[in-house]
Amino acid sequence: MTSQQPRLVVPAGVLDGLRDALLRADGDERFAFVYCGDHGRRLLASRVVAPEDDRMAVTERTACRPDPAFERECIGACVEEQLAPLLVHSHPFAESPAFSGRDVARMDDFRGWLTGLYDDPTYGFAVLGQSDAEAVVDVDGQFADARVEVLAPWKLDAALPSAVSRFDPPGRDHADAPDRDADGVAGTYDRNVRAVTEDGQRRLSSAAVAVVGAGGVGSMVAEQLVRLGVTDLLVVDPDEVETTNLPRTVGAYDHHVGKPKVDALREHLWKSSPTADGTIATAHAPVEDVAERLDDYDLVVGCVDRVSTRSFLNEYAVKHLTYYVDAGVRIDVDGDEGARTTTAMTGYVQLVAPGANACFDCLGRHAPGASHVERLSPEERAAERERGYIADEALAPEPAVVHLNGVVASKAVSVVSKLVTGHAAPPDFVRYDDLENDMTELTTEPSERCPTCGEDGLRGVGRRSFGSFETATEDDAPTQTPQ
Amino acid sequence: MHRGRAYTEANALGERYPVYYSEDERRIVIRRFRYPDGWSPRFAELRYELPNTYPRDMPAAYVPAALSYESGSPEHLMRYSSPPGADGDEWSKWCIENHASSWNPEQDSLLKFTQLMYASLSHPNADNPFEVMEP
Repeated sequence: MTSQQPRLVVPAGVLDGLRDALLRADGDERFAFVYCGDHGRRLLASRVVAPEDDRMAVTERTACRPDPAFERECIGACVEEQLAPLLVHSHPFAESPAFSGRDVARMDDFRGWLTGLYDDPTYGFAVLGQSDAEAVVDVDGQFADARVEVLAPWKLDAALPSAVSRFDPPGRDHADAPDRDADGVAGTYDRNVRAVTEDGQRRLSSAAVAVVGAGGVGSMVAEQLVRLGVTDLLVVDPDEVETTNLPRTVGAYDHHVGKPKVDALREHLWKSSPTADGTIATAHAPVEDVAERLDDYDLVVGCVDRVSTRSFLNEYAVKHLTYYVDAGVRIDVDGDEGARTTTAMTGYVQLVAPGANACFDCLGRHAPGASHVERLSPEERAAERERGYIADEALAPEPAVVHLNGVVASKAVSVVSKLVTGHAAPPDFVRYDDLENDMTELTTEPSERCPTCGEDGLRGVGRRSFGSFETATEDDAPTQTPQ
Repeated sequence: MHRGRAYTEANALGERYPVYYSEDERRIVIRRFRYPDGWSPRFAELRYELPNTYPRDMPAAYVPAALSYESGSPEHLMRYSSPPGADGDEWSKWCIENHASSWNPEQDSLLKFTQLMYASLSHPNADNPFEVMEP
């Protein structure tokens, strides 16, 4: 943990689950562990482990304590999974709870016990009342107040009044921070302010957004974000501009052909930025190779045509409890050249708020066949094509048109704007049918069985490493036939 | 990649075979795998490369380039198609991903994948070896 104020990030679904487990009709105090990913100054609430009543040593109106064996089991499981335990109990008698003297004494005892067993453990405590909560995290042997951030607060059954937002402008967390006036917000962005309020505009100006993909959709998303007032932007793309990109890629001209797409786009974004005082960073690389750079951004917008990259970004968001906006288009055609018919022209924007709505995999959007082809080297691709494993159609460029990209890019930016400013609840999923001129909003639910964000998945685990190993190699080592 | 799951599954594989597992390289090598009848030598290494989307995508499998089959080179064997970072003459890719197997990321594992590999290598010329795999 750094010296900055710790933060506990809790998905709306996890908080609702915690409230269900700890605030029951009988009014007794209850206890649960929350296993958390340890991500620098952020604890990421991964999942709730609540004991059955017979695993509680004490359950009373003003006291609760789990069975010591249950406590040891859970701490051991956390250590094994490289997660940090958050010990949560309830004060059902209070709206806005505070740790009692008895709580603090027990927390001190726990610290002595845990630090006797493990070196420099990360852990924390929280107390949950009828409407609010308080949390602390151990920082260098002292309990430090932790701000609670709810991921997708608009999904909560009931709001958490003291929760902070990821998109609160700088200074809100610090009482002694200099007063930030409009910063030109009320001038240059006057029309924006009239739509999303001055506070909303400040949130946009202080939001850090990563856009992955600088092609037909991504270039438009990046431009609109800059014009909207976002000043801290990262654009990631491994490709160079090709002639066939020019009809759709904002900021790309003849002289950019052969040069990195991100370089062409950065030039354009500097010209497009009304204030031009922000940070526009780029990475000319596959996002898989620069994933750690995403850690510095509040949300990720994916505008890529590779399903394996979209799955990677989805997994990144789920692991790090980050918002992910996935934008894409699809055009289906029938028939041969000369007699070709467009049968579908669709766009979609999915907001992934891990633990609050469906992720990419909950909806079965990962396509293993396409992902397999994307991962092949050119030689492997040629060999598999020769053997007939891959159809020619799977390797042909996808149809694309600028107007469909434009609709989808604008909708993606609209979702980002709602998410950041809070002026309206963002949708979970929007599907646009260009042939029918129809835009449909869908509400999604996370799946408990999802291999990515479900119970056995990766929600909130952060960046873990379990290492490598080699087992016995002697000639008499087991050599079984698979059964 | 689901590192925790890959580690656990590699450990389970290690209870049956001598195994090398590298998280950074996303690689598993079964040091001494018993190949089905018809393959020579009968005991040799078997290598898996895990995609960064594992377990949503199944691993890529490689057999030693020196491995031979009694009736020639099976179609699913891609000679000298090496995994990343390996010498070009060490390995051949076994195209298990193209057999339309029913890989289910919710319940399948590296042990299941090894069973699929054995079935596939047992019927190396079948269009879909898994159709002849016993339930």
